Parts: sequence; C-alpha cells; structure tokens
Amino acid sequence: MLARPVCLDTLLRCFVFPSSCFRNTFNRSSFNQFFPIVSSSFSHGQSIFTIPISSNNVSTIKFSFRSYSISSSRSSPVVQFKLADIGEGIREVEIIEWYVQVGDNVKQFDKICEVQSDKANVTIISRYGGTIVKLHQNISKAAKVGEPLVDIKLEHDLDVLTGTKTATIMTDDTFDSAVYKDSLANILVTPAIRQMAKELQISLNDVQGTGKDGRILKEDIIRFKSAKSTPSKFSSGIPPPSPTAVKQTSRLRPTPVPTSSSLKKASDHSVTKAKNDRNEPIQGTRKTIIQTMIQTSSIPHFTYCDEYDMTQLEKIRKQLKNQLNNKQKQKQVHSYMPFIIKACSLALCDYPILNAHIDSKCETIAYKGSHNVGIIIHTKHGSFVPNIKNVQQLSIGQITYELNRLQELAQNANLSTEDLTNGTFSLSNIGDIGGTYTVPVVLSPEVVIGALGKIFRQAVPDEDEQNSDENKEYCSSPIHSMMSVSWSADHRVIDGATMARFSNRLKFLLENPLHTLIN
Amino acid sequence: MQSILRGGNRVLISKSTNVYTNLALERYLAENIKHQPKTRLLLLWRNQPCVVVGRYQNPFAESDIKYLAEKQIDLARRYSGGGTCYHDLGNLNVTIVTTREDYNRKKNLHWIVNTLNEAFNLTLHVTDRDDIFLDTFKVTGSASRLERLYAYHHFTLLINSCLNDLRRSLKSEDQIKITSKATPSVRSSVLNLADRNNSITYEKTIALLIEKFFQWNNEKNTTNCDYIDPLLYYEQMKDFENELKSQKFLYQATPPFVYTVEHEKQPIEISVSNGIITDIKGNDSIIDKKNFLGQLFHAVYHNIQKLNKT
Repeated sequence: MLARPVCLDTLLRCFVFPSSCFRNTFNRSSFNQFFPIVSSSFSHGQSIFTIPISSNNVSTIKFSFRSYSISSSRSSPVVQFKLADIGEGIREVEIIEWYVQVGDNVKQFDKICEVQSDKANVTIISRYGGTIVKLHQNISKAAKVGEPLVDIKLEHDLDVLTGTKTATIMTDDTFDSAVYKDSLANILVTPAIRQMAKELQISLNDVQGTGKDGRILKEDIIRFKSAKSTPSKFSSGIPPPSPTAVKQTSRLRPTPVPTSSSLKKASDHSVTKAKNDRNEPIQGTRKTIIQTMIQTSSIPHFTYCDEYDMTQLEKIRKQLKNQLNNKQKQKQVHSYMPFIIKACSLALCDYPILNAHIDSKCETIAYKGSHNVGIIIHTKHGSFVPNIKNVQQLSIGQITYELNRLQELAQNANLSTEDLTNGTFSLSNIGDIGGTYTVPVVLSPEVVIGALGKIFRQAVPDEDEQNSDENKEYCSSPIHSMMSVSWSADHRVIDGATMARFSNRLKFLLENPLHTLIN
Repeated sequence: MQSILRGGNRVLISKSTNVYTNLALERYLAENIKHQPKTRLLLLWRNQPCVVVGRYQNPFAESDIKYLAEKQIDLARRYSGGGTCYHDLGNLNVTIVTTREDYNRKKNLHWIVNTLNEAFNLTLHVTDRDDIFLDTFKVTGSASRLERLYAYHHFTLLINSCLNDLRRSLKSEDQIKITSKATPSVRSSVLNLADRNNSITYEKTIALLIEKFFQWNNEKNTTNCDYIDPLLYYEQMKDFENELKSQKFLYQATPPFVYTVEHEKQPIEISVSNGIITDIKGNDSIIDKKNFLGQLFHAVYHNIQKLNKT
C-alpha cells in the first residue's frame, strides 16, 4: 500500500501477516518487498483480535532532496536566480550595480545587485545562501523580468523552497492583498516562512500548522503546495522499487528480515556481478507521503479484525452478472465494492462517531454529516484515495458509476482536488492484490480505516447443526466464501466496543444482503 | 531617543536646511523605523539652494559645476534614482516612507494632487512618469528607493522657488561632451504653484498636507506630528551624512563615461571610471597624458576645461 498525495492525509501502511492457518496465496509481488513480513500465528477458531500498534516506529532515515535540478550535480545544486516582478507593470530594468562578484559567498538576504527602472531604484537581495557562480547581466544592461540574474551554487541541499526560482523582490500593491492580509493575522509563523508563503502565493490561513502551538513550519507549506497541485503534475511517478528502497525500509523493521530475498541474492552471487548501489532523491509524492507518515505516527491506533461471510453476496453478484449483457458486465468490474461501500454507509448511520474528523490538537470531534467514503486506488502513478461524496444518498448503481469514474481518473492521474479531499471514511481493498489481515494506518483527520482482504473459500463448521453427537469428525462443513477484514481506529476517539459493534453491523449487512438492498 | 523610531502614521518636519543632513535623516528614518503595514511616514523638508543628482547620474552632465562652486550652491547625490533637481527654500521636499509591500507611488501622487487641487483650486495632474504637471509645466519630480523591508518615495513641490537660479544651475554645457550610460534627466519647463495661485505659501502648504495626511490614512491620532532637529541624532546619522558629503560618493559613484574635449577640431576622449581617468585617446601633443591618467576627474576638471578650444 503506497501513499496518496492528499493534503494533510497520512500514509496507509500495511503489514501483511501471512498465516499458516489460512489457505492464502501469499502474493510475492513487488509490493510486498516494501513491507516487513512479521510472522505471527493465530489460534485456530479465533477470528477476532486486536493488535495495538506502537507509535514510535519513527523513521530515522534522513531524506535530503533537491527541489531544483538545473545541473545534474548531486553534491550541491546550482540554482538560477531570476529577476522577479518588481511590480507597477515594470517589464524591464537596468542593472546599475553589482554588489557581488563571481566566487563571493552570499547568505540569504544579502544584496546581490541594484536595478533601476523609471526613477525607482531597487536593491535585489539573495534568496539563497551559497557561492556566486555566474553573473548573467552586465552593468547598464537592460534586463527583462524573468531573465536570469545570477547562478548560485547552494551551500546546503534545499528543503525550504519549492516552486518559484525567482529573485525575492516582493511585489507591490498589485499583489493579492488578501494573501498579504492573512500574513498579518495572528498566525504563528516566522518571517522566513511568511516570505516563503508570499512567494508561493499561499495564504497562511489555509495552511495547517503542525509545529508547536500550531506554528506553521516549512514542511507544512511544502505539503500544502504539493497537495494543491493536482496529481497530474506528478507524472514522473513514484519510481519502481529499487534495491535501495528495499534496503531503507528494512531498517524500519522491528524483526529480522525473512531470508527469502537474501538467500536469493546469496545464491546468485557466484553467478552474477554485484549490483551497484543507487541513490535516489526523494521527490514529489513520496516526500509528501513521508511528511504525512511522520505526522500520523503520533496517532494511537488499535486494530480490530474479523471475517465476513460473503457467500450470500457472492450469489447475488453471480445473479447480476448473468443477467447483464456484455457491455454492462465490463463496467461492473468491482461489483463487491459498491455494495460494501453502501453497507458501510448504512452502518455508519448507526455509529456516526466513525464518520468524524478529529483535529490535530484533539480538541474537537467533528461529526461529519455526509459519508464521503474514500477508496484507495493503486495506479502506476502512485496510490490515491479519492472519495465518493454523500454515499448515504446514493444508490448502489450510482456508487458503481462514481467508483468507475474515479478509477479511470486515477489511472490517468487526473483526479481533482475535490475528489481527493474531504473524505470521512476510507476503505482499502488489498484483497485485489492479496493478503488477509493487515494493520492499516488511519488517514488523518479521519478516525477509522478499513482494509478488505481477499475472499477465499473456506470450510466453515455449520454452527446451526444440532449435533448432539459428540463425534465431531462427521460434522458437515459447507464451503463458504470468507473475506478477512481489518479495521484500524484512532484510539483517542474510538473505543474497541464501538469498533466491534460497527463491524458486527456491517457484517450483518453483508451477510444478509437483502437488508442492505432494502435500505 | 527611541520614540523617534516608532512606527505608525506620523509626520515629521525637519528643522535643518542642510541637504546632506536631510538626505541622511531620510535614509536613517527609512532604515531604522519599525514600519507598520498600512501606515505611512510623512517627512517634510527643504534645503538651502542646492542641486541634487540621482544615484546613477553624472553631475557634470546635469549641472554647471563651475557655477555651483561660484555661487556656493551645494551639490549632492541622493540614494534614490531618477533625475536632477534644484532645491531652495521655495521648494518643498516630501518623502513618504512605507513598508516594501505598501509602496505605491501613484497613490501618493494622487493624494497630493487631490489635496492641492481642492484647497488651492488648481488643475494639477499626474503623468505616466510619476511627475505632477500643471498644464504643460512640471511642478513635481519624483524618485524612489525600494529595499527589502521598506520603500520610500520622495518628490519635490515647486511652491515659490527661484526659477532663474534653477535654470542656470541645471544648465550643463558638458552634456553634449559626455557619453555614458548614466541616467539622463528628462528636462521640462517648470512652474511655481505660487505663480498660478499667489496665496500659496510654504507654511500654508505644509499645514494643509499635515492635516490631510492623517485623514488620508484614517488616523484618529493627529498629534503624531513633530518637528525634528536632525542635529540631535547626529551620532546615529553621521555615517550617512559623511558618505553623502564625501567627494567619493559625489563624483566617484558616477557610472563610467567618456568625456570628449575638442581642441582645435581634434577630439580628445577621456575615459573615466569610478571617478578616475582610466584612458585618454587623442593627440599626444595637445595633452600630456601622464598628468591626467589615474587622476580623479573632478580634481583635474578645470584643467581639462582649459583644453577646450575651438
């Protein structure tokens, strides 16, 4: 399960538990390489258990990345510092004086040069710290807005500035006064961050601060900025799993690595040459994922798992399939999901606390009126969690249509911000890929998330049979289709009983589909 | 002392008429006051007769240096750009200092125009180049300086200046002799406001501006108006003042130029950079290059002038 680039939402992290008790084809897809495999055993017959998650799985890996890459130098990037808009409709200025030379060391806010335009002299200050590599303009030359002024070799890898690469001449009153006004309000933010927000044209009111006292930090601005951009911008996509990525995640694991992969390597060692290490800077979606991941580690989770008997639902699905013609069949790809989504919505009506948002300070539980059910979709561009709005008002057919629409958009990385925000309840269908029980991570500010495992056929002892005969060898065991389900919830807000009851209600609705259809 | 640097909507009137002191004061206040957003500082000042050139101008091209020396008219270079102007006691200087974001020349000028038109029944208008004209005559020229945290816009207002002296001082015969990339002045015919409405005086004008300033900024506290004696802050300002007075800043901050002397139809080209003669092209017999190369141009200026013979 990978992440989704939605503002302020967290990474869905799943630990897959293969269990010898369940006949389950453990899918060794590349997806599994990412995640630690912790073996555990479940006692037979017990299908309900809670697994508390410790929230101190803090990543100690330091990620550094470049937000620009003019040159391909990895050691320290060279940034082209361009002439920004001075305002007043000025397009062209004259370079009057250089305050720096090639080779000079500049700090942020140091003077770079002075320009003049129409009787206004402006001192241009540096946005970055570093060494001057090149001066692009000569004195008394006319420079147009947008043209490069200097090249600066940065001292440190940047994690501060994303977006524009232009000189920090702040615009004048033609600048959006609304944005400026916000920075004057009592928002806790340092002047450097204020400036950054101004340059990126972000209103500080929109950004949620995660620092002390709700202070807005650099990371918040970055996250907001990248969340604002639609996913289509990340068309470069998350790179395919590399040996380095696997190595890094291995450091997160609390238990030793299963030896399958390492064994494979050992056996290959004599035959093939050792592969070179590969470093990959963290960019784009992944950076957001990491940020949100770190944030979510503070939420105390508990997980509740169960199995739902999908036999009845399966029968209905078969029925529908046979009745539809070919064209309609193609559209009904995930015919379980819409049903499950609708059932969830019905169950949420009885347990509204599970359809709530909690703020980061944990001061208010916001019960949300509409059930905006998010579905985690995996695409080659990454994982997204678009949500279907107002499920409580939609019929199953309408939900199907919506689901297909979102899936198509996701495959093309065309989801809109509207689709990706304001979710209240999330579901992940990992059963698509494989696996049974997981420990999903709640997507803040939601309070619960469900992961649906694979549906597999299992012999279930018939509880109804009145077998006074103690001879258990002969009890009948019809084959049922069972789906394993894992729910994770924010333990600050949700208690085990509520979760269990909700799950039972959902279980009832899915095992007796007619009740779902009636509603 | 600290109170002088407080922010908010304020008016300060300088008691000094020394151009260097006033320019230093202007910069000192702009750099050190904690400017609050959406507030303005109004600084009113006037000088004894002087010529003030813009930051990147060539004083030789802008004014008659000899005449200035004769008449003991001060020559100063200011920190903001733009053109050259002549100041005397009939010429009011107005500076409006704000935060960088609040910088808006047009607003300032429109305020002045509206205030003066209303009070004195005039027909002033603002031009594209941020000047104020009364019909076809210029009464105001403006210039500004933008820094990271503050910006100021200053302009002059010809109330009842001595226009003859103005014309004489700003006339430069060297203008045609100099080729450079320094900011050229755009000359216009000028007019005093008092010539149009003879009830206008300096005192009336500043009283009017002070009153209207607080109204313009919606400031209820109209007591924030002080006379300021810059001499009291001499210690804090002396660096600026010394720089402004220095020959280095006055002459050597000129952008590079070439001064052409014609000696009996033979041109001699003198290249000056940073105020120092770096190159001379011309007939060796006319000019003894050794004497001039490496010299400060303004120091040997009168000798060079002597070479000028037709």
